[in-house]
Amino acid sequence: MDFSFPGHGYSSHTYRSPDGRFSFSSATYRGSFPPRQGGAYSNPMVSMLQTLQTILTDISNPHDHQPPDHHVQPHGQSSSTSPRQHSSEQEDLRHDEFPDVFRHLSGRGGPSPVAPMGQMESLAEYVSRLHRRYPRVLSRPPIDHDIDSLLDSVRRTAEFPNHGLILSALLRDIAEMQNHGRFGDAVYSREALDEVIAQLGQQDEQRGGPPPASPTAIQSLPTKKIDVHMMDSDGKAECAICKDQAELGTEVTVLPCEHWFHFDCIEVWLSRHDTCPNCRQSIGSARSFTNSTRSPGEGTRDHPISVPASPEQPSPERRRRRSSPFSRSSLSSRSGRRSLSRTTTNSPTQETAPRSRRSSRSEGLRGGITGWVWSRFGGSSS
Amino acid sequence: MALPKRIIKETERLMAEPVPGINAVPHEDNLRYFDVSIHGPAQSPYEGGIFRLELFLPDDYPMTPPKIRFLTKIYHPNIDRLGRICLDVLKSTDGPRKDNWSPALQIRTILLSIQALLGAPNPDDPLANDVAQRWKDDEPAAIQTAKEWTRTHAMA
Repeated sequence: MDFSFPGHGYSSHTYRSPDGRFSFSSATYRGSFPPRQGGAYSNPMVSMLQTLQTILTDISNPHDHQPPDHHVQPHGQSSSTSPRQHSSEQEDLRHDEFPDVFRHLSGRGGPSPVAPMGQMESLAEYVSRLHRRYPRVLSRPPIDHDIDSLLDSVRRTAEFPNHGLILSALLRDIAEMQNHGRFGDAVYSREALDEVIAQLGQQDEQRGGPPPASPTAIQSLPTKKIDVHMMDSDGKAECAICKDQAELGTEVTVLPCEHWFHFDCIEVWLSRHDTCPNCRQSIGSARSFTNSTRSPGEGTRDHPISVPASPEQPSPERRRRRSSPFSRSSLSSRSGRRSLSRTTTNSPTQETAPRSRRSSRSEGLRGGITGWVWSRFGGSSS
Repeated sequence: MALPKRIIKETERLMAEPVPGINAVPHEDNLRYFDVSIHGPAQSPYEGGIFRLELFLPDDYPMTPPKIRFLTKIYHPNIDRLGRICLDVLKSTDGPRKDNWSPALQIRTILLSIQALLGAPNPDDPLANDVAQRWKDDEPAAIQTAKEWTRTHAMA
């Protein structure tokens, strides 16, 4: 999505990464343009405020595809439209995710990066609405306040706690902008751009993590009925994921590391990350128990690891035996990197192989994203 | 969406067996949102301070970590000026530093980790770069600043 204001010296661009996981907006003011009549766009602050207004609009209208008429009064109140609009927005906001600054850089494929201008008549109107809503907080000009006490009082406004939260995040942003040349998605200095890129890298890390386990591997995990040996001294056994008691005889799924969980619980986790929730061992890496570096005392109260009857060697052989020909073919159809790790599991370095594979992967990815961002921004920011 | 049983259990247990020095209370109208306060650990620059945090359990919790942030200003190399915390267990990743969230972790363990982080700042894994640099260059001065911030912001 690209749109600009030709001749005004203000332009806004949104880039999307090739894989669609990131979107990146830039707002640029070109100072070389002569001031327009009335000085509109003659000051970088104007474009900054426009961005602020856009973000305000974005925040207060999460469903900006809906026509403005959507907010027609539900309670038959009269007078101006703005308070009504707030009361219905408020319902939306209540379900909103943590409305903090992470939102601005959430790499979630871009939640409507730049909303159309003009949904809210002006920033001044929004601020005056805020004044009506938080008369006590905003009765004096904010500039006389310590920003933090302002934030606190906004947050304490019991009437609309979530709205207060959003506002406080916003005010923090403004404070941040003053200090750091950065506001939301827009940056105003090279240093701030570096910071954004570093943060993007971190986001990438956060979204990455250990790769998922294959559905085949998850499905072929052995099951076992809870027996007395799996209970703790109090005679209790608890699935670490749902924290529910597992009764004697309940069928649970056992990982190669011998930690057990409800199948439904562990399936959700393993299909995101191939690590044991208790000890982080991958179900793909065939680490033998006899050579394990795990100390005998590592089983927790909640997860006694004694399964004395069946300390199976989870060797690749065993996996193959358990897998149907169909699942074998889907196994081998996984990425080359993945199958490489399988072939290394028999080597002496088996314990470090998966870890190093992962970190090299995430570094490669991060470099890729950073490289991509620089290729877009490095060139144009000179 | 109904509140998962696990969140109810965790909340009940937090109420029934509170962690010393840590207080976490869910909002009445949003049981995924907690007001948290953590007492600064003894023998740390944060001793005597009570730090307020907000904690939110995302929809897919416990498959993703809780989102947590300091509301009280704090001078700490692993906490930035927005209150965001650099803590391995708060990230569902396996980056160079083995950042790792696990669904076996819970609100209680996370808050304990944060309390421990106050007792053991780690300037080598910084989030607030300027603070971390100062911590490395002149630790006594940095600790002095941390104490002053605690007095100013974390003592009512």
